[in-house]
Amino acid sequence: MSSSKHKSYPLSIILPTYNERQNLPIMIELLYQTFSSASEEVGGTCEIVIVDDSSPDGTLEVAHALKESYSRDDVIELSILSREGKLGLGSAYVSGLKLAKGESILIMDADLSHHPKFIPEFIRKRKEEGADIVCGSRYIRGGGVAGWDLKRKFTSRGANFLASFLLLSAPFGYGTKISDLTGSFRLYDRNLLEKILPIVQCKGYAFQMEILVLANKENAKFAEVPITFVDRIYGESKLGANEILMYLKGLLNLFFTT
Amino acid sequence: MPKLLRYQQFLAYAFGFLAIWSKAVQNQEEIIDKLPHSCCPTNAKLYKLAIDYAPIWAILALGIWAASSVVYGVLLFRSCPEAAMELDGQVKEAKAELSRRGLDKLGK
Repeated sequence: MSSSKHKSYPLSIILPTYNERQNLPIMIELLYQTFSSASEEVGGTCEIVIVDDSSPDGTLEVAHALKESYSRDDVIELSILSREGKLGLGSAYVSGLKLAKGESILIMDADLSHHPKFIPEFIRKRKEEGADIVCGSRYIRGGGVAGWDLKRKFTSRGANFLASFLLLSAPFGYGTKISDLTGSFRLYDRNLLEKILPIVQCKGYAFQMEILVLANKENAKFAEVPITFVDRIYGESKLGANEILMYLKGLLNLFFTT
Repeated sequence: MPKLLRYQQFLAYAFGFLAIWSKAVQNQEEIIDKLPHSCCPTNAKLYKLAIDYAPIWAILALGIWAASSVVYGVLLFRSCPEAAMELDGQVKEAKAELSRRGLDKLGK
């Protein structure tokens, strides 16, 4: 019998980065802490696939240093993919997926708005309910947001209601109870993601919606986990008129084509 | 039969509603007669109003339901500043650990 270690990869996290030099080291440390204490839950090494789009602030260099430091034990394992330019989130997931070895794929934001501490709960939900997609929801009991004013909350809830009504409302044949359609903290079955990602066309918030709509068509099983979202981008407007227009365009596109 | 696209499903329901409505408008006298207390002229007028403008009432009801759902959702939307504070604390700890690993130059 060869003495090579048989590593299992139950989970891969795909982390697209663009100018996350400050946040990435903290993300990796928090992920390391989470998986150190949840090794039973995970049942193997957690692979983290960093997909960097040639960040001008040197995120790639940081990623390599982190890889060197954190690969000394089997808690987490970093894989790094550097891409030629800012090629978009969707293609970052597709590229990351090609590299990923995990049976389950976790997608989350790399700017600390999503906290790794919720990940064991995602894994637990997937196991217990056999869900193909576990969505982190800010709206359900136990969820919430830090740093949003009333206007932002209205926009978020309004957008979700509109999407839910137009795309997923029950009397019309789909019976999915998903409360947070635009959230990007999710755990996917790998095969499902491989099937869907190449087809997705929308950009921005509608991208996350389209994945759910396409998965629904494949009769995927959904589950939800309450999460808290910490908005640390003070002063910088993440939600301009441009984003909103793109969202509505994406929504209408899905309404007429799915 | 393949599943209809979303907009087709909405159109199907809309046409169904309009078909029923136009029948109702055609036969409104018969219908109003059968409704309770329609011998009283005010009631008869109200019934007629309801039937004649049914699509408008439906759209209004939909609008009210939508607005209430969103307002309700916002009222229930939890703000959790403690999550931000917890994160701030953990960021400090993480920075200390990164320093211990000799990675503290990274953030600069």
